[in-house]
Amino acid sequence: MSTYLRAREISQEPVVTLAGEDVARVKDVVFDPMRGSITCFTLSGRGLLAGPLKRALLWKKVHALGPDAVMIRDESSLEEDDEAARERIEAPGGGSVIGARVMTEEGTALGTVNDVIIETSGTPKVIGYEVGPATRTDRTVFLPVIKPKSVSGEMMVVPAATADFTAGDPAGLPAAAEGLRRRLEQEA
Amino acid sequence: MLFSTAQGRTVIALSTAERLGTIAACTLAPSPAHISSLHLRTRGRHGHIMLWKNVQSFGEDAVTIRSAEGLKPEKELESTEEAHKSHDPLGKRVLTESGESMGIVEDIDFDEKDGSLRALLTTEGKVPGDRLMGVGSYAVVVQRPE
Repeated sequence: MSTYLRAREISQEPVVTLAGEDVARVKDVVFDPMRGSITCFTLSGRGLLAGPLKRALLWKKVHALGPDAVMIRDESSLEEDDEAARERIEAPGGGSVIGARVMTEEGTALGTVNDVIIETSGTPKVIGYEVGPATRTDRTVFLPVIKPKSVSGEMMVVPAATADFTAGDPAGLPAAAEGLRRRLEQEA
Repeated sequence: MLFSTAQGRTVIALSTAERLGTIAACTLAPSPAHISSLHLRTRGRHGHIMLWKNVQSFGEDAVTIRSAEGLKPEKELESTEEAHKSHDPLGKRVLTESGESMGIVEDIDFDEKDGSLRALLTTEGKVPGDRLMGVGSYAVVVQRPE
């Protein structure tokens, strides 16, 4: 069974040890948009009014990412500081894909990234983006993203064919991604 | 036996034939899953805890222990100890180790002879006791069903 999570849903999720203690709350999910993987989480303290927690949670230390909690083995799974997270956020496009404009190589704006869709069966993978209304189409679509050409804090450049493989909901993304992959292979 | 039927049962010290209090709550520990301690409502403002190993017999009308020496005031417990009330499962949310919510613990089914946990009874069904991974202040963590 495939389950889809949105990056916005993951932020605010509690970080819970296998012993049942909540040690933090997810603040932001940090992505590597070029690889489509999650690299780490930035954290805030427990409780809704708690401030940022200066400790990062690296993806490799995560036991499981679920719809209701991020599970870790124990508190030592957290990094001592947030150095690691900061490095990754400062990498090109790191952390801040939400709000970036999606542009094809040919210069057509497809919209703005509203949310990141993550598939969580097995190793979580970014399978696409929820993209808000572009100037012309005026509706929210889901774009499969395989191999973006380049990413910066403000823009993500994707192959032109991406525009032909949008999906109406997250469940349609794998099929859309498969179609896009074939097209890109043909073009290559 | 369901813990809800054990709640309120009198605890008696055999050496002095004294009523020490009544059972109010319990704590669980994993591997193997068992009741690690019983929390007693006693006279006075604070409750007492008793490790399961002090239980002599879990009878129909009363629970017997050898002497009152096995009792410890609840407030003297460190939060790192197994018997600390943060390990009380009742009313707590259940999470699978993959981070999925599985309801709230309503009751537990245990073996009154050795304190082993048979099952957690949750708002979403029964979870076999051997799936218990940990009970913390936030949640009861269980292994995912096969």
